[in-house]
Amino acid sequence: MAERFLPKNKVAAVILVAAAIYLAMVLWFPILQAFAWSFTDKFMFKMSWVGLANYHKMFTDDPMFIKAVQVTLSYMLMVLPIAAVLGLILAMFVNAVKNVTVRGFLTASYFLAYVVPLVAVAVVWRYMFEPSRIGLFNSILDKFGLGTVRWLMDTQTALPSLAIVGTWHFTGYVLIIYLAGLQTIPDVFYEAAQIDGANRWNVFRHITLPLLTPTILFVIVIGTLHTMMMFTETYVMTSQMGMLPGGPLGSTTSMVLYIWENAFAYQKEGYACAISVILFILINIITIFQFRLIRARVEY
Amino acid sequence: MKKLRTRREFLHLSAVAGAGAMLAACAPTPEVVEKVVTQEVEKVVTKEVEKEVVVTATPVVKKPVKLTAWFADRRTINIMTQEMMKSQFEIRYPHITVDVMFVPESEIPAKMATAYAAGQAPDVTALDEMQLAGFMEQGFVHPIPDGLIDVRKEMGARTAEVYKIDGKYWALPNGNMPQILYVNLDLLDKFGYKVDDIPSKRDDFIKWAKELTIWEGDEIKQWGYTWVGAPWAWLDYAYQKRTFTFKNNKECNFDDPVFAEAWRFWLDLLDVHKLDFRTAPLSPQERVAQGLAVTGVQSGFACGWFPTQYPQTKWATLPQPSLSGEGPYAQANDDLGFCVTTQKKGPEEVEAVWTLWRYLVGPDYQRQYCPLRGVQPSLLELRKEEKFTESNPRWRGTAITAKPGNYLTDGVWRAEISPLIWQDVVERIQNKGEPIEDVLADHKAKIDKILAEKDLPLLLGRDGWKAEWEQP
Repeated sequence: MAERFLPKNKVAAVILVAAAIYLAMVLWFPILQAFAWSFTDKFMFKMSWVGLANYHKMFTDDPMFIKAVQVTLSYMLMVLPIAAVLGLILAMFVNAVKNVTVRGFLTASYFLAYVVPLVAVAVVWRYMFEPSRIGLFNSILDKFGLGTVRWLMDTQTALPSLAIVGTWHFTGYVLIIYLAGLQTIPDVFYEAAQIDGANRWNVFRHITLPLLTPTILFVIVIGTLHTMMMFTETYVMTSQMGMLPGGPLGSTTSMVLYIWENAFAYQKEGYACAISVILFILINIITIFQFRLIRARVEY
Repeated sequence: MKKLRTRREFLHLSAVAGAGAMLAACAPTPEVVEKVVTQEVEKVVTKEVEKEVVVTATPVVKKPVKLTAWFADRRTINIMTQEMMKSQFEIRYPHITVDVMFVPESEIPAKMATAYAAGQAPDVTALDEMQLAGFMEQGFVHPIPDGLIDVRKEMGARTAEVYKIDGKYWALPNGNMPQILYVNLDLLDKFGYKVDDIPSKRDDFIKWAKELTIWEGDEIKQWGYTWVGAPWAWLDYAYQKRTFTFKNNKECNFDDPVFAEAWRFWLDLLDVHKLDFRTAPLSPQERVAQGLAVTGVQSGFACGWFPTQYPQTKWATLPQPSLSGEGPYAQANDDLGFCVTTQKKGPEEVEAVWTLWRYLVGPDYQRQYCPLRGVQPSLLELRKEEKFTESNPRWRGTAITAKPGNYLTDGVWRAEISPLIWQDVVERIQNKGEPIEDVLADHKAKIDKILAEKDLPLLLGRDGWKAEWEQP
């Protein structure tokens, strides 16, 4: 039986089994345990079975949960399309650069935004978004007579502010993925298009885009995961002394932040686990939908 | 050229070295040697710690005990604590060694649960007041043995009565932290005023502060008085009118008209008197510290913040201006507290744990802790020391406000309630302009729902407060 699943090489088999045990301990067991705890009212060591009470409360008696779902989906819809399109445009621009050194420099420059730790990035952006004139953006707006914006202090502009940071951070990663994808497209197609007299837009529309669909699918799926797990930006940029992050008025409380709040600020671990399960299901549904929608159009 | 080693030889060497290291790590611990203690020690300590002469003359033979203590991570208190443990406590009790750990306050509950499950809970833990109920519910906290401390004699009637739960004490407050007024003395002097010139009556204070406020466009360049960024400040209007935030531990008091009146007052300060503005940068204490504001309101913790963050700033404190010029001036919430969370069972070990606890709540440690934390000590004997009295200009606001009769406090509520009485209500009324009564009613309903979930023994509210606690 084991021969069906394990390689013949004994060393490889040992490594695989060890890795599986490790993953089971640090990944699968906690996930299954979280599922189990989602049916309890776990509070540190005290725990009793409550069935579907947590889920019932979530959907009928917790407006903050509904808001967290809205915030998470809004954030995803703000960041993902822009990062995906901007990343593609930048990747095509970088790909068109013939000089290898310049291309490498540009690639590294854009990717640097993704490599720098997000906590450090968020702290700097927070100062740039300072709502008075001492903030960088407001001082620029003020110079042009456009007044000031409350940025992170206004419920209308707080989430878009975080989306700006998220887009800036994620675009570099998307660029690298697209760049790799562009370089797998054989030149023969472009040569044939040139011979046929196709213009740039037609080349992009009929050659580049279709052959890039596997990469686009990957970017969208990974981007969905990345944006729906948003936590660092909101935690760092909306934290204020003596107060929980996610404000103002919960307008930047993502699902992951709400899970953190319930688990660690309120010690409602059972409820936090239930929200985690819903997040897991939501991500799965969106990903399956994306696969079905985009995969049909994937060309190789 | 020396022949390079093969891969096999390298792996062989690595395995031998690794095995040797593991054997060394698994070596038995050295035998414990009991010490006979009789020594006289004098030690000069750092400027934050007063000079002490510690004499332990009685010869005792005690089993050495190693303890672990968790403190909330605050840099200045961390440094002081490490110093006090080494320079005073471990010399006074040489059979006790204390392993001090500094843990971010918000992480203590989760880490405690993990440590407890592993049988390695800290022996003494510094708890936030909002964490005590949860810890007690989990059975992490040991009750303070009878006779170890005379709470009424050492800390007064209010502490003695409020912190007795189920007939026992579980943790005691280090002190209480009032909302006070911070003053930038250089800026005050620039305008030709002295601290005693600052009006204590609210209406006079507003007029005075307006004279010192300078606008530039739609922002303030210099404040006479600032509070935006201290979302708890608005409640002090109600406390000054002897109105509590909670009726009892099951009902919020936001339906009292005083709270709507409080909001109209604060909105007038913004929109009519124009003393502050909604997008004011930094925090109130930073505006004062940086010389942008002459006065600003903030919690007493800033007394410990100023000397380390802005050591060049000359500052003082006063009680907040009130309607009559007299108390009550503000709320003053308790700063909890050290509790025993040990899992040790041996009588000598347990004795050592309580010895450490008693030291931490005693005058020697609290004398150093309270100024750094910005709390007026619970220990009545410490309140007589000059640095904790109103004759200390930096402590004047705290000392006066924390006197019985000059403050009120509701006690301790749950963490989920804080946004509903502070930041969210400020955001909705002050920033979004929602109708005051509607917001207060909505928040009252939400708070009452949270209060109905669990009993909070330390939340007194109006019904739990006793007038006799206002007698000195």
